[in-house]
Amino acid sequence: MIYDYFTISAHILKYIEIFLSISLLLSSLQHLRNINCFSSEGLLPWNILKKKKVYLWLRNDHYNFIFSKTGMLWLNIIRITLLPLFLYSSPEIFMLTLIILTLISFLIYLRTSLMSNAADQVNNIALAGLLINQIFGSHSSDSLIIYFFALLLIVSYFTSGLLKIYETKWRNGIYLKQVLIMRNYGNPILIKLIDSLPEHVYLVLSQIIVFWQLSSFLMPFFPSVILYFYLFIGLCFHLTTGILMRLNGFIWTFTAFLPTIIYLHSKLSACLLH
Amino acid sequence: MKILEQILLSCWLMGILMIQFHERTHSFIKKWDHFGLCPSFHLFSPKPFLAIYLIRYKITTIKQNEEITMEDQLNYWDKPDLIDANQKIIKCINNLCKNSITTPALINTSFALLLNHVKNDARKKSHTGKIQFFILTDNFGEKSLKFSSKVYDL
Repeated sequence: MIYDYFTISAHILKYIEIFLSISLLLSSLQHLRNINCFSSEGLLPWNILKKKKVYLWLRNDHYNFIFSKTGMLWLNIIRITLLPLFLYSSPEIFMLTLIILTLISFLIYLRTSLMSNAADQVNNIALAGLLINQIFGSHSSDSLIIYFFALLLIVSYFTSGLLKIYETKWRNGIYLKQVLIMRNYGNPILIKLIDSLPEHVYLVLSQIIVFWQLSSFLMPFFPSVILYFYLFIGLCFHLTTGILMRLNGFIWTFTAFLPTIIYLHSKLSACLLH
Repeated sequence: MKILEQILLSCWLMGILMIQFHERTHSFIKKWDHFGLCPSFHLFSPKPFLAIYLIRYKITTIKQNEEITMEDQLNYWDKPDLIDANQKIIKCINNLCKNSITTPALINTSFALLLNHVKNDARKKSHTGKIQFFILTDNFGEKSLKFSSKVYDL
């Protein structure tokens, strides 16, 4: 039943839109919570930040308001306000909403790139991808953008797995334990609990993660049962990193793309059968 | 139109794939990627960055020929909130400290941002006098000094 549901492109796109909205909401709330960072007394005042080489093309005074504390406050409020429209508007308004939402998200990323992570980048990719899908009008039975999202997810897992397999400390679980117990990411309450687990737990978990990431490119070719199992591991992986490592943006962003693998799998199966 | 879309998405995917493994492509694309459309998916590999950066500052006040030294520390790790907004600050401080350490002799933008933040944090506590800040790396409790700034007027 789940399989059949996710073989229809409209269902996948709606699912991505819902999860993307939650991720954008969370990201904007985090920026609003840290809004003082963008003031002249904060960590990222625009008058100093714009001296970075990367902002060379934005040094004109016209951008001062957009990237000030007030500008960032409004950009995030507008983004949050647009999310219900993004989810529930009619097709005519949807295009306009998507364009504005994408532009605002790009501006927010531009200003906050020093505090952004891969989840924020994937959010922008999802928005740009959905916009391309709308512009080229291919939201019929076979959306190219869904294949793109599926391949992007596979590239992300495979790259990470391939780089880990050459490191002995990833293979024996040392790095996994260290990442989980470090204060940068770890939940203070859970760190003590995680630290007390025996070493062989990390060895097994680390090898499962590396093997799962490396074999991710085979997912579209697996039988349905194994595919479900792989996607379930993926879901558990993102939930665990979200709870234990406080990477809560990743839960919504990467989980949004998981059903695209089902879509790719169904199309490949249909091709192979014919 | 469909062919154009195919070409566009294929080039984009190829760019993303290449920056994962090809260093020169990575540097070239990152220079122009202002909106994060070509991310690196290294995700803690091959070696995760395990240390954390701490910013400690020292304020020296001279009153009636008596020197008073106060030490304080910027700390975001012990104040988690519901939406984990501090994660963004921690990420930002780490990025700024990484940049500063590669060119400690220069007053670069990252350094200027940190100095601005440290000065304002100190001023909130009504201090006056001279300020100097230090960047330490804390590797599972083992702290080592990575950088010490000049002394500035608060």
